[in-house]
Amino acid sequence: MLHTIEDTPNLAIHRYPSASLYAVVRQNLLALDGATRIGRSVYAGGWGHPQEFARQNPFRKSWGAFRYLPGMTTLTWIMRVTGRQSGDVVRLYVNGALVQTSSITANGDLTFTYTLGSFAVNSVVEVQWNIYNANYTSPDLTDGQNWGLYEIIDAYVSPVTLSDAWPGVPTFGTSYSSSALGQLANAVDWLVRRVGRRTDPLFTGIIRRFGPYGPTGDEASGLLNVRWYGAVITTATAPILKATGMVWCYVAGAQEEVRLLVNGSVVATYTVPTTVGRYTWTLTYTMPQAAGTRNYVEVWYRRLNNPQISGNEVMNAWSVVRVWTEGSAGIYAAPSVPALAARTTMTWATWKGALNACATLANTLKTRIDANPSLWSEQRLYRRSYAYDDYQEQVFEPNYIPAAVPRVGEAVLVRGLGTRIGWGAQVWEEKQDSVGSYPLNATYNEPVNQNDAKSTQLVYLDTLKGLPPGASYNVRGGTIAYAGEIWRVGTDV
Amino acid sequence: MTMPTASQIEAAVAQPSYRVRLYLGGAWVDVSADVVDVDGTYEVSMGDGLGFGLAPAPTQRVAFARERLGTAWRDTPIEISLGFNGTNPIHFLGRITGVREGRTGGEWTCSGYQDLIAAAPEIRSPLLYRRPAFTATTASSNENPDNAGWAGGLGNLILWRAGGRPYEQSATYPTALFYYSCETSIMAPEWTWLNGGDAAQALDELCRAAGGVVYQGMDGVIRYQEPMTFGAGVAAIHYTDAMDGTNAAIRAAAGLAQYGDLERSADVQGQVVDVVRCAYVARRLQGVQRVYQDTTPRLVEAGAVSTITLDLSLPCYRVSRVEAVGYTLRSTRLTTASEVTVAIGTTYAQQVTVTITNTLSEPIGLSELALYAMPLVAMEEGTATYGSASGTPRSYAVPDSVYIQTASHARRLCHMYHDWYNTPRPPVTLSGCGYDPRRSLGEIITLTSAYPAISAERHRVSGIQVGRTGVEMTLTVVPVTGLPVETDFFVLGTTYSDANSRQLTY
Repeated sequence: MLHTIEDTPNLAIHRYPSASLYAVVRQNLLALDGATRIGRSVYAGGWGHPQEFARQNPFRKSWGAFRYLPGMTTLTWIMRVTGRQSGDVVRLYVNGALVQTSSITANGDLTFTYTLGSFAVNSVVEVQWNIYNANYTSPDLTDGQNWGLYEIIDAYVSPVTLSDAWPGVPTFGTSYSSSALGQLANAVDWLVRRVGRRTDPLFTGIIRRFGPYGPTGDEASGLLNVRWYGAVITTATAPILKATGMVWCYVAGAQEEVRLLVNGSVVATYTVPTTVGRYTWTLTYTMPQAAGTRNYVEVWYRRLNNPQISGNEVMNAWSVVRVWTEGSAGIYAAPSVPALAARTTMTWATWKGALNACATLANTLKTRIDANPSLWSEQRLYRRSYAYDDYQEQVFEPNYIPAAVPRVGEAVLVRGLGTRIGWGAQVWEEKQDSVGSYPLNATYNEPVNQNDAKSTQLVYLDTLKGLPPGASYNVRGGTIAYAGEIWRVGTDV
Repeated sequence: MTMPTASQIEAAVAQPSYRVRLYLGGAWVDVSADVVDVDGTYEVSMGDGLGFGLAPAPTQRVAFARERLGTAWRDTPIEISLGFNGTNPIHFLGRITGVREGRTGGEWTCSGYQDLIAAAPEIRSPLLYRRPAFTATTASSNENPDNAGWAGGLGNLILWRAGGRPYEQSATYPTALFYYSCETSIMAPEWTWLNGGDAAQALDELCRAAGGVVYQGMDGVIRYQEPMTFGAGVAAIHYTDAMDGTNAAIRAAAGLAQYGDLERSADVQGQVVDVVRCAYVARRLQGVQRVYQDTTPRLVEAGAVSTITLDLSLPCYRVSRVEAVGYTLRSTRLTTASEVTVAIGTTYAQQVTVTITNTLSEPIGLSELALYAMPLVAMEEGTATYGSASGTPRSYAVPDSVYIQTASHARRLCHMYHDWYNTPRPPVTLSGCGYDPRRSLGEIITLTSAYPAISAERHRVSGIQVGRTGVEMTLTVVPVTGLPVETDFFVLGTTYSDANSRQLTY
């Protein structure tokens, strides 16, 4: 979206003002006005039971990656701890090397930081967190040895910034000066580069997941393995939380519901229809918390009362496609900068007023960026799908698919092995795979990372026919270490 | 029949005079005594009087009675001055480009400096970002592209490299091949560059992509005029057929001039358009990458320096580095970076000179050269339009140019070309005029004619044809009423009050 606008022209070099070049400046500002109202996907902490498969010592708690940009100094992660055990530590690995060991000293939401070293610009840096306890046996726990509950609910790198400072905005009075025009053009150009620098990891939701067989009864309490969780910071521009997904009803009469929880409280519920069919659900909640508050978000799939087959209660299938935040009016904003035509007589007051309106809007956008650091100064990590080894990752790949819904950026940066970008209509194969999933395939596919070893590749999305901004796409493949969408691939001149 | 008065009979009559000089042996030599006749043509644009591009070179024909140059006529500088009673302003500066000789005399064909520019050795430039196609020349403007801080336009670079020097700084460059003077173009393409080829054609393309015209003035100066000045200025003189018995003194006092005959012609197909189309090809700078790879085996002797010129297929910005893979010939091992040093020399958009220095005491072979830079690549194409397509519209396509790279630039050109060609502006030929050395190309005059009916309408002098060694003159003028002029617009650096009214340009 932002990459389709023209580079901001240098107004100061033109003896006569150009209506066309002013139109480019205006267009850019209005595009930025919309772009800076875009919320973001909720950081995907994980799925299911926090300690599922966790009988190893150490065990992989979470992993992901980020796109390195100049100026980034710090990796920050927040871990929710319940029932910590004496001696538990969290180990941080960066690009496969152990770089930091942190003691887990209390229960609650703990914040950890790590000072980044230097990396190649635009490289993908892989991150992994392991939980370890020297008091426990390794590689597997024995009876009597138990972990606490650990959830990395948020992880980001910061700051995201530009090397050059904000040039400020001018005020046009009586003088039509080149310095004022140059400052205005520089301000708009700075904003385009600043906003374009945003990198959004693709959201790894649960595209398709079968519920387990389990006992009858309401599982409203306790930890469920039909659960998605993460965290998001409230922002002034995007205070509305939304979650969307699908359910597939195989069993008529099953009483189920999808719940959205914020900070432990149910804020919205979707009642799954009782007739056989496929349904799309969306849950919405306006977060009242003050801007800057980190909110713990969960999506539960609850069984209330389901029919049984051979003594086992059957659950329908469900998915979480995306959990995100947005503004109340979406990204639309009424134009606050007037349109002007060429070769039409106007007063200096009108022309000056238009230039000052541009300057005012530019300043407003700068203020908005500064007021929402979780959107603009922090780059969330890509949450890699759960698996404790590469084989398991490939086995469970159909259940966890990173997707951009919708596409916003110019390019997607993918690090992995044997991946592909899929877009267009999504088609479910009729035959189940080895883990009971019905594989989901896209109509169109573009192979990426086809080398023998894991590689990083930048794909310009405009080269994929039929994938305009606003359309959706996903990344599939056996190993996806990182998939992040770059708003605008810039090259400083 | 009334007899003329004694005053009229005795009144002094101005006699045409001329001077022709050749630059021979480092000095101007007057050859007027051998000249029989002079005639020639000046044009400021391409036929229609208002077009954008490189105007044809002025041509002059000089008939002489006695052979003067022998075989040394080629490119001999020639100066022709035409006037009255021995006061002879310069009418033409150029070069002799052809000769015809016989036993009773001969004829020189002379041409302006456009051909000299076209024949200039390969002119190359760096990749320029957002430079006006032409920048204004002043008494202090930095015109030398080799100087630090040079910020001129590609057009200025071409004129400088072709041997020209800014007219405003002529005292600093008294022996320049020719002089040039430029206004600042109203459009600045995103990227401009030149990689050899016909420099005159490049000037033409720049003018069509930015608006404006390059022509040679009567004083021999190559000038770039931006479009908003085409119709600007106070009318210098009023050509009229309404004389009614006025004499020369009365006409001179009233700022009037006569013409013998008038003809106006118009070509609807070429001169009136309803819709203008302009294609563009976006270009985007890519990140540093390998832009050149050469595996030609090369030998560099011990202690020697080898200079290699690399020609690039894409224009490049900011050369990052050159990598050279070398091996020693005697001990057959790869060389190190300190043993074989690589330096980047002169850098143009599509050509880089690299110097390889072998510091060893044995010869080395180069097996690979690779250059890393930021290439400028073509991206999406598009077309902009302007005008009304209703009815049976006549359309005009702006000539394709590598310098039209954004949709906004294409739209601006469409609107400007539409303003130029949507209104019929038939050129007018005024023949049978007495030669007037004060008339110049691009000048504004007013014109009155009983038939066809023209009433004191502003016209621009787009062509001057002089015959009979400065006795008679034919002017070509084109109406400019309705053309945008600089006083219509807000101008950078000007102070305004809120009630002042102007326009925005394209």
